[in-house]
Amino acid sequence: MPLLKVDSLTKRFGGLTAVNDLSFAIEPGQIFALIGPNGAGKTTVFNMLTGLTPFTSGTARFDGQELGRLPSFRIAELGIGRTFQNIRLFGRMSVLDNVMVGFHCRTGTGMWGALLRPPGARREYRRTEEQAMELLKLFHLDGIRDELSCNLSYGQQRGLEIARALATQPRLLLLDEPAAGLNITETETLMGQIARLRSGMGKTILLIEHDMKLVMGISDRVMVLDYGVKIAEGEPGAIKADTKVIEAYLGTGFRGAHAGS
Amino acid sequence: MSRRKVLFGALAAVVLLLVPVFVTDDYSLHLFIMTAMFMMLASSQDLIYGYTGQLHLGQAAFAAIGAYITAVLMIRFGLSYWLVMPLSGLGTALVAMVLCIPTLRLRGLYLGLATLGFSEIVRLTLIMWNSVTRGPMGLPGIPAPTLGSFVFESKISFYYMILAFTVVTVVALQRVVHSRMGKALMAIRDDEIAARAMGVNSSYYKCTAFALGSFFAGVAGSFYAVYISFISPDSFKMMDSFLIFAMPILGGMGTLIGPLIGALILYVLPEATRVFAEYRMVWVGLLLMITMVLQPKGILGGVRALTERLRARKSIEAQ
Repeated sequence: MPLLKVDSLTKRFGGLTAVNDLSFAIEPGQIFALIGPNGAGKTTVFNMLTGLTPFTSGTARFDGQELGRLPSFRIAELGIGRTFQNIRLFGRMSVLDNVMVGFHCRTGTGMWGALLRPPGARREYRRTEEQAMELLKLFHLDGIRDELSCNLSYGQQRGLEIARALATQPRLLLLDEPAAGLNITETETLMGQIARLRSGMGKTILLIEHDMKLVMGISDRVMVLDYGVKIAEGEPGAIKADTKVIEAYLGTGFRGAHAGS
Repeated sequence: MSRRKVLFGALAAVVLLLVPVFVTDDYSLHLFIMTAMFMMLASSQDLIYGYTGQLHLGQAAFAAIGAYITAVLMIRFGLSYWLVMPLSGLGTALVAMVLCIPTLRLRGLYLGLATLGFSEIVRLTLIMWNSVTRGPMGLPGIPAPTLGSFVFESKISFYYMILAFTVVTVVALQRVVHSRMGKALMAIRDDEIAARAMGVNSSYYKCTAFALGSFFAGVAGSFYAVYISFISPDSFKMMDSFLIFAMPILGGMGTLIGPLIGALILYVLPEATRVFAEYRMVWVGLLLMITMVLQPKGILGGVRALTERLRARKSIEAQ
């Protein structure tokens, strides 16, 4: 059974159809890439899957559960975590606190627990702190745990966003252009990290990315959107060769460039 | 670091407990009492705005609600203050929760305007609801709280009472801020959409922060009622809401100590410059302007930035 099954998903903003009758399925353990030109509706798909944008029609089932009317925080609880294309960290909070917020849906101390601080609440807080530190280590951010996240470099902020999303303990992780703005070395590090999320942590990943080397290098399956419509879906090799995709997005130079390298 | 904090705390406790020994004239002690009450109001204001990012301009209205609940329950029903005080806080929190229903969708300036409108509704209700509030005449003769045979009448006894309330408020807020809930509040402040995507039920937490902040405002108002023993719709004016709003900003928002510093300055300064009569608010305005231009993060924010720079310089020199 697929982990995520989307059927005829459609979103209209007034007269504009941002996503049109989109269907796809992601199997557990897959790295599934969503590519396409700017404005193709990729981020809209993410926003619908995470409850930030209501759909106009269609269904999306995550592990059998319909996501349609669920608020964002419930979807996070179900196990869909995400990052944002235009980094959305909690700027005036420390690096550590950013990740600790991610653990929110996996912990339970409420207002009374905070006020009265029973032993259980203290234990939970300490455990959360330790788990958050472990995630920070994965992204080499443990040394700057007390720094405000707005003071981090761009690459560090990208890493922190992924660490924070992982803290929600997602089964499906949505990464929205994780390599945007990264240099070649940083992108390569990121590729390794994403591959490890799957192999080491067993995460299923849905990825939006413009860096074709990254997409073609790590994805099991690629889907191409253009003007909100799916124009192709398949294995990276097949997508690279697809004439419709080359015309709409990759450009005719792509095949040649890759053949050369 | 934490040992230094403990030491500082112990020193502050001794100083605060000994205040009535050194401050013997009633007027000065009154200033201490009122400052502490404003510290309570400013700290709880900071939970709502500084930590959760909800622009709130009605803290004085919440204090008024708490004060009136106390006055009515004590005068009409003769209930004990120790029952009435928490009820005043809870009643105020309940009003805040009801206010949340329409204002939850509002953000920034729009929320600020809504809370301002709410303050006006409270003021008019207090004036019009004659049968309960006696309108503009106010409610005199609020009985003094008693504890066994001890009657809270002297300024000294009220000083210790408000000191205890303020300490409890600050400790409670400190605990909330350094908890899962506090982090959720700050996340909402910094980016509500991202907070929701991380599993934070933002509506719930915005309401909870609003209710908790107004609970302490209600208790502060309740204290005022028994301390002055008379309240009227003029006891807590809109100007007080603005002053309470400015306190954490001046002292440093989201710092716990900042609102206390802000309350000290913004309450004591107008009183200390009473000789200038109606011009005294000019000084307050000037101080606010200068601080905001020189140090937008408030006084404590400025101090922290400075110590951080010094520490950075030291570590560079050490290398």
